[in-house]
Amino acid sequence: MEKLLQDLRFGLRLLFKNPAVTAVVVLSLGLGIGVNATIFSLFNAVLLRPLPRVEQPDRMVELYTSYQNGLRYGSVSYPDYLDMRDRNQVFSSLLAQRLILTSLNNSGQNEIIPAAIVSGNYFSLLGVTAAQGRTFVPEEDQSPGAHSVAVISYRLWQRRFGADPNLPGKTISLNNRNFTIVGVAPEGFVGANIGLAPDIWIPLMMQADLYPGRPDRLKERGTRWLDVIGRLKPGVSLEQARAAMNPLVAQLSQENPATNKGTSLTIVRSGHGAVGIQSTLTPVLTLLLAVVILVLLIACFNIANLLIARATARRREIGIRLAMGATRGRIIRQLLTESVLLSVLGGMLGLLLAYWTSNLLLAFKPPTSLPLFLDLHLDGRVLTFTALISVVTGLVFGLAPAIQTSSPALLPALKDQSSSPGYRKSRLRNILVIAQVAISLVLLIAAGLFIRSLQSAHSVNPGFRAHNLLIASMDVSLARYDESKGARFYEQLIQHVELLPGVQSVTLGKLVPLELGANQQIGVAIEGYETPQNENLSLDYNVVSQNYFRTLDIPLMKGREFSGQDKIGTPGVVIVNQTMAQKFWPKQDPLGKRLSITGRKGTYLEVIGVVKDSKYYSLREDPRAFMYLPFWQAYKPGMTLHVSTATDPEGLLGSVRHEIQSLDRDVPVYNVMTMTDHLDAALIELRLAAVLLGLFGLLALILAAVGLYGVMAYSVSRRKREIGIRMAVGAQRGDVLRLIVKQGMFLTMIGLLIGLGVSFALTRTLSTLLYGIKAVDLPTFIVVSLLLVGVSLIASLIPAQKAIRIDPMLALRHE
Amino acid sequence: MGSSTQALICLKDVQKVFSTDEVETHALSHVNLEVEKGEYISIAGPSGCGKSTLLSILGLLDSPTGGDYFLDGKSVGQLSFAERAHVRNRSVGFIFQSFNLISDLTVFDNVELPLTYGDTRAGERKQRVNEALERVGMAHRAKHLPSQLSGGEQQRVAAARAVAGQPLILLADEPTGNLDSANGETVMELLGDLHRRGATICVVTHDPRYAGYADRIVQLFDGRVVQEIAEEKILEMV
Repeated sequence: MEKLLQDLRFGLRLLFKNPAVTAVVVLSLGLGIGVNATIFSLFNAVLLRPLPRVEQPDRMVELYTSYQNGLRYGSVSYPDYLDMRDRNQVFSSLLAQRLILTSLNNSGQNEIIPAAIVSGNYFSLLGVTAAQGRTFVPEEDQSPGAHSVAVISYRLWQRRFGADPNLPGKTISLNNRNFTIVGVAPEGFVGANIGLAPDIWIPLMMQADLYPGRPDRLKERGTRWLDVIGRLKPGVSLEQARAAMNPLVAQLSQENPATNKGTSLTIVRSGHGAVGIQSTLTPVLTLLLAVVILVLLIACFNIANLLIARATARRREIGIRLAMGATRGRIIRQLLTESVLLSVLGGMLGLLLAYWTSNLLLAFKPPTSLPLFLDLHLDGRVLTFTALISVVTGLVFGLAPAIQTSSPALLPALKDQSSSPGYRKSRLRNILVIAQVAISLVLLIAAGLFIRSLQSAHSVNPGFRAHNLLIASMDVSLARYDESKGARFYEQLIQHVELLPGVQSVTLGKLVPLELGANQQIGVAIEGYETPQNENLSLDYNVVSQNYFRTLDIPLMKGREFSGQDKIGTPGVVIVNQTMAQKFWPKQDPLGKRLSITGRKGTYLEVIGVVKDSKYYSLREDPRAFMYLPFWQAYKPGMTLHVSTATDPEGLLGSVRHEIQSLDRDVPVYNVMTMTDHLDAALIELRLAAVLLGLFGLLALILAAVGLYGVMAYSVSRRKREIGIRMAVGAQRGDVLRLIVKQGMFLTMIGLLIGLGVSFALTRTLSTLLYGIKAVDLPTFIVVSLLLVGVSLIASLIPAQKAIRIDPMLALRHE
Repeated sequence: MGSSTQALICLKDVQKVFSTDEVETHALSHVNLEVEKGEYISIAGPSGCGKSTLLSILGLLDSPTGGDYFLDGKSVGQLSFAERAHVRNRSVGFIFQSFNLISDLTVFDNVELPLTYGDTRAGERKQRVNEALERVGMAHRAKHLPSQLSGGEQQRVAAARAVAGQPLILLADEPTGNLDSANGETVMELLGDLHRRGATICVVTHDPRYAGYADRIVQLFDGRVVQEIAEEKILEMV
């Protein structure tokens, strides 16, 4: 311990003695460790951090309905939930929830707030008690519509209610219905899902008031709309729970064949990346984490090179220590203590950087109405990671110089005879530079691929109009409209907006194409098409009004569009895309074919049109079977207005919003934007990867260039005498310039070749994340290689310029 | 370690050959030398004759390529790097021509250095450092850095460092080489004083003025011991 303190004291003295070197090293490390801590804090928030405030979060599991068509993570119906909750032996209990949006009216001000309809045992199962007032009591989960109570989040309590301690007992208006606030959730509690944070919780029994559409859904076993979360009983493992639930689910299938035939149950541990925001972000986050570790490695190599150079100046000191009887191990320990000291300082700077940049990351707002919430605060796990990576970094960049420095030839060292750098010493420094060039090439190619993907995604035709189109979403159920009133509202709205100057065409769609996390499936039976045994056929669909295809420029290949006459009471109709037509009616005319919706036996929908395929959920998706139902026959309260314009739609955003609000101020409007902005935001994952990888690639390039420059500058300083002799015997300046540049470019070319080889092998793993280009994209490989060669040339030319200014007389006299 | 002999230092047929690609340089050839405990010898000879190589082998900074070396009766010629470090720390004190003080350490810390690499406790280290500094008359400069001292003072600090560990032998390589004559004289007086107190000393010098301090002069030429001059003869020479 005493010796460690001695080493620390000496290390500190050295840091202050060479402030410039210390600053460069600490700054490089700070950048390297900072980006690692930032990405790790994101990784931590999404994948590692347990649900805050929840008791024993590692005992929580999620239960999903799975289908034979491959859909694994489906919702659960209320009757199934009750059966599973009451007939199992392995869970302490199960809770059910549904995330929704509500319109909160407080002091005349409407605001869309994310909320959760939850079972009465929600808070007790999670082990959460109220910060103010209380949570729900059992009787509030008994009779539908009986208890209009709500618990609000701590954040909402502070933001909208000024942390009023007397709030419990007061009334708020949600979707124009009064609810009594009974409690405030504790600070930091964000619900039962990572990344999704509701601000209001309402008992499941109140669902008909807040989530209109199917008032009987509490009784319908075929309507699956709930997320179910359970707490394993003490001593029960996940595998035991799975084994115990399978017979129960099979029994439910037997008892309810009409709705449960062919379904099974999937149970996963909560918060382990299988579903939701975690599954979306995991691949990108893993890639980013790998990238920042490589950036840090490049920084380490730079510092190792610097320390090797500095070690030359310390040969004598190390020689003295060895002469005094220090063992090599002791010298290595002392040198490692010094490097870890540097890296710990770098780590502290990195933490400061991470504190700042993690907030910047949250500025990326994805296109979704989901209540996204990620807590990026630097917790103990991030601090531990940073501390660990700091120490490991210190060991990584300190070890090679320490081993090399601790074995000098003692006599020359003690006599301070500065011999030319040995072959081995130069070789190690050269290897480090080659590794830097290779790694930075790999990173730059990865960055290049994502930037090209982004370009390619921008230039791709998604199959619908992206320009001169604006959208505005609303949900009339939040203003307590029933179906007939809602239909009338939308009809009037279309008529009003059509009259606005500059508007070409107006329509409604339930889903906006490429909306993150949005998808909609419905069970169907197709006349004349035999589904494999036990399979419930589910198809993706959208509900749209007349003029949808004209407004979105989706070409109609056959038949006709929906019209205002396709209403309740007229024959049911459906429009399908090309893929669906080819899949179910190959080599036949799909027009006039029929299908029925599961649960509505005897009611057939006739195919009246075929439209061209377009992109529905993601630009990367393969063509999929998709169908459209007419709004007037398949009413949905929450719709999005799509307006095509003759000119830039930006100027019409205000007018459209005004038209909606002039029809009814209580109908909340959200996501009013141009389709271009929507698509930009839809590429969030690609954009995030491209921007961050671009930044990290640039950082890697700068670090590698600095590393190459350092090695070349050092080499020139060591070769002064040789250069002097060469010039004395007649070498021209051009000859010296070539000599130095050739050396630098030789290292670069070796690094380049290794980097290209590694990139060819590694980038294939990125192919699922790329869009519109192949992983081995030759233009990217060529441009990035040329960029690296150019930068390396500059990094070699600067020391070469210094070399040609060497005065041969001075260089020779120096000896 | 191998069998013992009576002398404190005993070199038997020691050779040192430096090999480069195709050339072998014989720095030392068949050197036989014995140094008794408490003896003061001076190693002399022209430049390149192998004086420093011999001293490095004596101080275990280097290993012989042939022959054997017994220190205090134990064979130390072919020890590992770590074992040599251990023996150096316990048994050898060095004084170099260029002082070789660590510029970032104070006088006190420099003198303490060999003790920190052994297992001496902090309190005892402090006591020994202070005693050593007292002996060379540098106790009042304990907190100074080497750069604040004159050459002679630096060499006295180096001498204090050499004796602080209470080694079996003191090896000095041209200790006056970087000093003016007055300071050189002081340092040689200091070595003489240490000798009178019982230290075994080997000094490499080519300055005949300081030969008189030694009991015996070992004359090297082309890596071989060509002459050993005893004390009486030295006195005659002086």
